[in-house]
Amino acid sequence: MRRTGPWVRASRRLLVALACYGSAHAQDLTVGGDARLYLRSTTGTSGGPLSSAAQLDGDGSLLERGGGFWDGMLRLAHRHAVFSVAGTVDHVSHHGGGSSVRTARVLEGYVTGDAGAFKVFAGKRVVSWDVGYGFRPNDVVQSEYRHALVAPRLEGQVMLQADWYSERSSATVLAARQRDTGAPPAMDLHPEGIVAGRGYWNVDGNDLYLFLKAGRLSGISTGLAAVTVPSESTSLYGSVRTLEQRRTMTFASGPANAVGGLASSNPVLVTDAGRAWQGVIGATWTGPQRLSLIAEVWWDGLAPSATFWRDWQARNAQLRAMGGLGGPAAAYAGNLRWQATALEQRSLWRRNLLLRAAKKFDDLELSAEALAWIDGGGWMLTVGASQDLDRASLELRWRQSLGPQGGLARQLGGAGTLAAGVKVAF
Amino acid sequence: MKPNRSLLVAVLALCSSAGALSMDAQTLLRRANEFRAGRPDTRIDVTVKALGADGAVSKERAYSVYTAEAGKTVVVMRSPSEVGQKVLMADEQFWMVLPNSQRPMRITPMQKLLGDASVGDIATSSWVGDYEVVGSAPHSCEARACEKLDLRAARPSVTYQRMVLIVDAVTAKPISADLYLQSDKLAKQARFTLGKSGSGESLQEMVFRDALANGKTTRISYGVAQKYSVPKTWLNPMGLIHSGQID
Repeated sequence: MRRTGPWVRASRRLLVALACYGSAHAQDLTVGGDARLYLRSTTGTSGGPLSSAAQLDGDGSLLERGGGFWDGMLRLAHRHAVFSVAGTVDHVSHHGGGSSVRTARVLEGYVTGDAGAFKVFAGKRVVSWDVGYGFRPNDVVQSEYRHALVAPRLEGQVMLQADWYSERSSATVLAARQRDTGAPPAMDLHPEGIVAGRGYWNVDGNDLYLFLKAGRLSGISTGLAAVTVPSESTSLYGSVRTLEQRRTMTFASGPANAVGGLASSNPVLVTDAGRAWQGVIGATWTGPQRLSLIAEVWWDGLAPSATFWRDWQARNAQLRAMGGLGGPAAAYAGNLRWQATALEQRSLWRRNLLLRAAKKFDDLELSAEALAWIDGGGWMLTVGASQDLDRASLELRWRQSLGPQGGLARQLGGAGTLAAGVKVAF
Repeated sequence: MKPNRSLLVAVLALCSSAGALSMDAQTLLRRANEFRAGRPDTRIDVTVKALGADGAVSKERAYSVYTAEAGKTVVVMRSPSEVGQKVLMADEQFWMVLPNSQRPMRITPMQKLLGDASVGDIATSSWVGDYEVVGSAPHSCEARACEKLDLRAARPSVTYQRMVLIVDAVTAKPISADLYLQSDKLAKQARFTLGKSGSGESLQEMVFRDALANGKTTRISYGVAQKYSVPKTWLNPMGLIHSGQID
């Protein structure tokens, strides 16, 4: 399968133009990029709905065993233009087969210049604004998935942006066509016209931010963030956001009362709910022995409620039980696969705690990270090692779902995932 | 008891010389600082080599250091694996900018100190503004007279809270330094090499022995400083993000 969009076609022309310009002004043009190769292997099976469905009808085609990807990124940068493109070949291996997807994406392609006291940008740009490590509620333009085992490449948004700076403050205003490329199809998020702004002040050594976003579909959201460095080893930060409208998953009423407890359509619905808020506070500490610690706690009002997950678990248990009693296995397995739609959301749990420790030994870094879903959701442990070489880096990471058997963490994919990769820069 | 006249003279001479030394020490520090890179409105290219125990180069990185004014410096990473990264040091506050991000990351003095590049050591702030001389004493160097200056940070935010600086007693050329953290733990030992630069001499190389990282040695070599007018917007972390490609 091969996907190319209008942006790729338009960018080919921009690439040719930049290459022509670059050949004439070679000293002004910087060319760089990198290539990555990662392999991953999933071990064990979870107690989630996909595993249960496979047990009922023997179809394991949605249960991932492993896979990997190769991707390359090329970046051309000039004083007044930036262009970067990435190509990826992603392979997923299932029980009973595998599939590959080839993708080409323009990550960024924009021009920039000065207009009076303002710096202006036009085109496709990556714009990430907020503070924080595990959660960044005020990244209102660029949404990043912060817990991928291997960090994905960020793809920008199409926008027109203007910036103004003084010695210790700045203001940014932009209009964008926001498209959440990482959102699951089930969330049915359409591209949205937005206007957003950020104010920044450095006051007595502290960084203060104010955020505002108005979206045609999502309404108005406002946010505040701050960072302070109270000692040579410690930094403290916090960010809070309120939003007018949120998209959330709910259950259609009555599937459990349908014939045989079976639903004839996906009972997991996406609806517009009312106001919500998100917030994070955290601290970092770095010691002289190259040990660094991060502690972060956050509330995400966009994630489903505990009641949603209780109902979801109950429904899974009901379908498993009824399927095991000799009913139409394919129908119960199908219903269980619909249930798995709920796990595709970017944020799954409202109350979260993240602890991370990392220690450097020359160019080798060892790290351990625990993400806890407070109040029975379980937790995920990720340990890793990365080695920096002159132009390359090697990485090995292992993630294990832990916690109570019925906890949400134990319902995800496989029990553990190993990822190993190499990245080479040029 | 009859006072010992020669002892009295010696004490008076010592007091007098202590006062003179105090002034001399300040002058020595100021003049030693003038040999170092980091003059206002300059750009200087820097190469950092990490050396293994056998002296072989295990890693090499290239940087450009832009100094706007005292205490305000931008370091731009040039090596392929770091290209696009920048560090802003302004009034003892530090931000790191990564490529493909609009987010400047505020970093602590310790993070700056322990970074791969020892960025804080590449673009050190002014000794004169950041340190006060709290003591000085003659020091024996090989074949020349030296002075040992005991320096204390003028503010808590200065990365190395104490420095013992050895300078040539006649020319004020910096020779070596022991750098201590807030906890008074020895962090690094530095040796300075000067070289011809235009009509005078300036710092050409610093060799750091990292006392915190098993004696790891880092060699920092400075190119020739060039006049460069650093835009004011670079000194605002939000402006640095949008500085784009820096020559």
